[in-house]
Amino acid sequence: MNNILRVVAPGLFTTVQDLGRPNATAAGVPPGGAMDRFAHSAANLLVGNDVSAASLECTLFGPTLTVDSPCVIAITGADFEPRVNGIAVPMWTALALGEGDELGFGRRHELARAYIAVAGGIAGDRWLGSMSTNLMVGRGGMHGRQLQAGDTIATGEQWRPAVPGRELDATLLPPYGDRTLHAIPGPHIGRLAAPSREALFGSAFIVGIDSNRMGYRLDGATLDARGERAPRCRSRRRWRRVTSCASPRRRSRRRLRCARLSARRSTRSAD
Amino acid sequence: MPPRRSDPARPRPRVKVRVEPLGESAVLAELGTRLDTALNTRAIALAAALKKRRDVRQALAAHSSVTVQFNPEQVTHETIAAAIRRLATRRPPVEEPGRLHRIPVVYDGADLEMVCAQLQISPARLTELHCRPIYRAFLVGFVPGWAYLGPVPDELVLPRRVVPRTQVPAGAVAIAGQQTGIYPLASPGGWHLIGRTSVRLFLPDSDPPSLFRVGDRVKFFAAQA
Repeated sequence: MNNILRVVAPGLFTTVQDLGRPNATAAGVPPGGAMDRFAHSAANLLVGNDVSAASLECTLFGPTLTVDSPCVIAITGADFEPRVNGIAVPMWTALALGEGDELGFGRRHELARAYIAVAGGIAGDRWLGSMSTNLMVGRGGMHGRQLQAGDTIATGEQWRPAVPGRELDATLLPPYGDRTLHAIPGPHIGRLAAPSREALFGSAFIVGIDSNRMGYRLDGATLDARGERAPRCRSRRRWRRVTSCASPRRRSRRRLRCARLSARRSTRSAD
Repeated sequence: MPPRRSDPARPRPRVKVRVEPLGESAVLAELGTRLDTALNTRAIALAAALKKRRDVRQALAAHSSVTVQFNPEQVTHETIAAAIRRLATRRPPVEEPGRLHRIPVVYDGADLEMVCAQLQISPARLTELHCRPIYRAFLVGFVPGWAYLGPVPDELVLPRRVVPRTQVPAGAVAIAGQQTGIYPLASPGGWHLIGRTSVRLFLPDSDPPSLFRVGDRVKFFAAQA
């Protein structure tokens, strides 16, 4: 363990994240982990880490960090105009930083979350098998909280040589610009009346102010659910009919299921 | 472990299980829709059996259903659905009675007056009704340490709040539908708050961190503030 980065300004909301704790559900603990798994994994691979190493997740407004000892880092995800000593540096690239360098960010262009990985992985508190920060419980990562000015960030033991200059080809990036979510109708789709179903799949929604890593509240068309429970016998009859013959209804249902609305971005149940 | 071959003396239970896709790499296996201890026991046994399969990433039992997350590179919806139907016919093991927790509650929640008005009962009657049954913990989840407890007496059944609160204090005791629960940590919530308890339901550094386990029994009693 050696200290490599010092936090000068924490940014809006910067936390330590990895791939989460999928097996902590028996205690009711959500899996959590990086919101953008692709960016998190890519950042780690670029600096020679395993994808399960921890990275820093920066939200909307990046932190300012100074380098205490030379290291190799990679910045992925949202474009916050990363800079080293005021000079713009490329994203999706492994960068070598020297002692005393200052890593800062400028204006946000699009997307919400950027990831910073460090060769060797970021060291943090491990709780229930993961270093992901769980703010509700206050465990994992940087003592279960977001970064603060004055924090020092340490790395674990490096087990693969870190080579600066490694970069990810832009053609391999997921279609981040596309805001269409891929959805497969779930078992409770029947609770929505037909006009509401059309509104759900046909209209645009705006991410509301009451949104966090646990869930997004979307503003837009009001959806009318018929009730807490679907009318039982009716839905079962429909289910049987759908599975028993190749009716036009079945075909349309299948088409709906297969409608892959390009960009898939998973909304993870998180902290 | 239940015997693999069915006991000829006791016929196998007739099992209806509904398997529906839940996204591209999960299915929902519904054993029923009632809030029922027997269904819950079967769901837990089914989840445990499914977890042993290599193509299953995670099997999570809920009240009367199991969410099965599988590896779509190893298995298809159809194969996993067939496996679920086969495993669901197994008789669940005889369940040991869960631990009994007695939880003191001060009945002074923020929604108490509104709930009493809607149900047309007095706060004293609400307290009496809420304390009467021994509830079962059907499911632990939602937030760390939360347990869905039920069923509540019919007189207390009330739909969820129309607009959920974005913040509910830790220790709040709440009801909604046929269920009751305790918010273990400050979190968002849509249930009606009728009281509070000082019992800590989630201790992050204990093993296990959650006080309640699936199958535990819970009894509330009224305490003075």
